[in-house]
Amino acid sequence: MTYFTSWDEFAKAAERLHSANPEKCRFVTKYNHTKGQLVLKLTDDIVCLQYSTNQLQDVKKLEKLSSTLLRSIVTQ
Amino acid sequence: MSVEQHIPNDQFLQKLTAFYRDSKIRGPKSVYVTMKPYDGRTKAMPKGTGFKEDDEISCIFRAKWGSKKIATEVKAKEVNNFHSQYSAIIIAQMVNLEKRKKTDDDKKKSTGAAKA
Repeated sequence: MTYFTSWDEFAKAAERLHSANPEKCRFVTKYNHTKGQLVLKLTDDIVCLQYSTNQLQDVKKLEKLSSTLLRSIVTQ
Repeated sequence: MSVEQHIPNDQFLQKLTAFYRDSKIRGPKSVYVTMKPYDGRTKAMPKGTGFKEDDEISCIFRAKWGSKKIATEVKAKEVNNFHSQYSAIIIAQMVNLEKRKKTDDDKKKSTGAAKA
């Protein structure tokens, strides 16, 4: 599966996938300090969404997205 | 792989911070953090079994750095507290990323403003 190139598209697709199948969805963040790379992945084992970045500003956006996902995980 | 023991939230956050810190000084390994819904069961269920209606859904956090693994269960009422601590950690630790580069549009705007 290819990476998303824009954050907004990734975030929108992630929220849509999560609301379609909240039980199966898992959200993984992978941070590599040496490479200066952050990879985010959301999958329900059928569809896989990925986003890779090296931008500091995306950490703030990750904070927001993870909060949204976390809240919808416990309120499903 | 041994059975994962869930550790308390505060211990998990402490160890997670240590993972991020250690990954800076000890080698090129990545730190993985996974979150997924959890219904509290401890035994395997047949494939295809979903959550039951009356189950209380919590969120499980797992982190992995090299061969070290930790996991914790975040209950619904602790979510806000946990997330604010978690975001403080990622903002403090995910620092080796590039600061915002000016896009072409921004450059045009700033030079335009300088002229005007």
